Amino acid sequence: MSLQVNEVRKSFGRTTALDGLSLDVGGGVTGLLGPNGAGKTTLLRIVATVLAADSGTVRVLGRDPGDAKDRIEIRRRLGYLPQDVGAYNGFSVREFVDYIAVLKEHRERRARREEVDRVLELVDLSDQAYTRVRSLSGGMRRRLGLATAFLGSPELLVLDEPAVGLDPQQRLRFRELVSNDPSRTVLLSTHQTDDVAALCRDVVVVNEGKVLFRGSPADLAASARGRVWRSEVREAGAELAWVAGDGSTRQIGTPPAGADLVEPTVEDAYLVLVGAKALQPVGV
Amino acid sequence: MLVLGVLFERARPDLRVRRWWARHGWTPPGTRLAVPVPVALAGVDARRLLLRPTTLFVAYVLWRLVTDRLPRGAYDGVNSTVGFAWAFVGVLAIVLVASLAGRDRGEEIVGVTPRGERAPVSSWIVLLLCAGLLEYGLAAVRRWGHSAPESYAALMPDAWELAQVPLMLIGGGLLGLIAARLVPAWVAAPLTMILGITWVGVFSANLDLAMLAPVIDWIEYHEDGRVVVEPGSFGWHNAYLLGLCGLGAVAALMTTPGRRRPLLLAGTAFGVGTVVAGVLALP
Repeated sequence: MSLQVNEVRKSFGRTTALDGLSLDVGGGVTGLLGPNGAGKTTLLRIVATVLAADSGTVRVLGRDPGDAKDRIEIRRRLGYLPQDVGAYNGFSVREFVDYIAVLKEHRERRARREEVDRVLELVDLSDQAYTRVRSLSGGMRRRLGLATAFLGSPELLVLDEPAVGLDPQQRLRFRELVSNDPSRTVLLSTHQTDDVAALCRDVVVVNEGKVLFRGSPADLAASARGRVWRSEVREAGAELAWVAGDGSTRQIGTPPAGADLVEPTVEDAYLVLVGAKALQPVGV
Repeated sequence: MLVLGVLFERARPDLRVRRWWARHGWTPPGTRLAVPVPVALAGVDARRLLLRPTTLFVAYVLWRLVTDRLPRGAYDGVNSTVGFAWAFVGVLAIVLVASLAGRDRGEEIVGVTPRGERAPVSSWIVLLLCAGLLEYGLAAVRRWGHSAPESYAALMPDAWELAQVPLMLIGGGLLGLIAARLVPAWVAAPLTMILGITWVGVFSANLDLAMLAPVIDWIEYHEDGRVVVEPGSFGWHNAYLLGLCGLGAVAALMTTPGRRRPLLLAGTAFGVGTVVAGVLALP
């Protein structure tokens, strides 16, 4: 296992972000789904050695992030994209990636230059190499962050909402990038359930600092069988309902007898799992 | 022999000795530049900073400083270099603070690299040392590259005393670095300047304690026309400045996460050394 998290707790003041969360992650892409404040970012930051857990054990690539020497070794083999890419505004794109490359111990200038060119090409930022970071759009900044995460082809990629702000073409490119090396372990958090369905071998649904589901996207979707149906109007058993493009009302909840059940998607299953919590943001 | 071996290695990278070195965990020469990360980072930053308009202006002033003919030759040259260094501290602190202030929110992406946040701070210290060396070179050119009137010969600083110029520069820059780390905003630049000026003002006002100011004149001009060297030891004053620079470097590194014990030990040593040197510098 590339990543083992056992009974991890983390609080910020009175707010409990992780409440005894346990998780094992092997090779391939694992997606974290969960509503805002579920603890996804806290978990990723602990795995990426940014934060230390209050209690519980964490092993990353077989090493203990609590140990100073192990932490350095983990960082050598880790690529991390934080939720907020704090790139230096006064730098050009190339300068910033070069700076991070030096910090990642790419000290030989020629090899470093080649590596910087490679990752800029990977994220399609070669044409913006000399553009100031302050001039980049949100999506471009995200790609810049991805470029730094891919430096040195790390064994473990920890990506916090990597697809935010990417246009459809870039999202496809991102999927290709992340999935092209099956031996690499990728842990990513996202709100894009279609990314999870398309990319992830495993999906973990987190809510209130606990794991609600762990399995394949197909299993997640299957877990909602019999809970999703279609009808002309919203019915009493529906926890969530919306009018689809064909004019019918797609509903999630407890279907009435004889309801027109439909094959659930990953998104449907996620909404069934998270339940009332998912409804709060839209005020239904 | 070592040089010959390295040259031979470079010429024939396919030889067995290279593989032998690699097998024993050493970096064969020529495969990569064994530059420490802070030095490599300083290089990246220096390339950026060298093209800034402020840096180009400073370069122009430096050039004028070295090439200007002054009436009292080396004597005026040294004095002007000292005076200029004082202004240079301000410019450097402003550039440094401005650059660091723009790097807020970058801690997370830098913090998860193997070298963490300490490497960029170390690289700034390396840059300051380079600026200090440059400044010392300029002062040395002024001191020994020009002649001074004979009556001033006794007043001229020796090589160690001349180190006040770069030490002042490095110390001022370190003060700016600490301020920028603690207050990562533009306000850190004026804060640094106010702190520096206050420090000079407080100690310079008291002749007995003048040697504890970060910058001191070499010469006292008397009303009867006598010109004498300031009382106190310039050599120990420089040791005092060196101690302060060490303390500044430790304080700047303490603003980063990581092991603290070696820094605390170094800080204690620098602290004791600074106090001793300060006392010995007084008249």
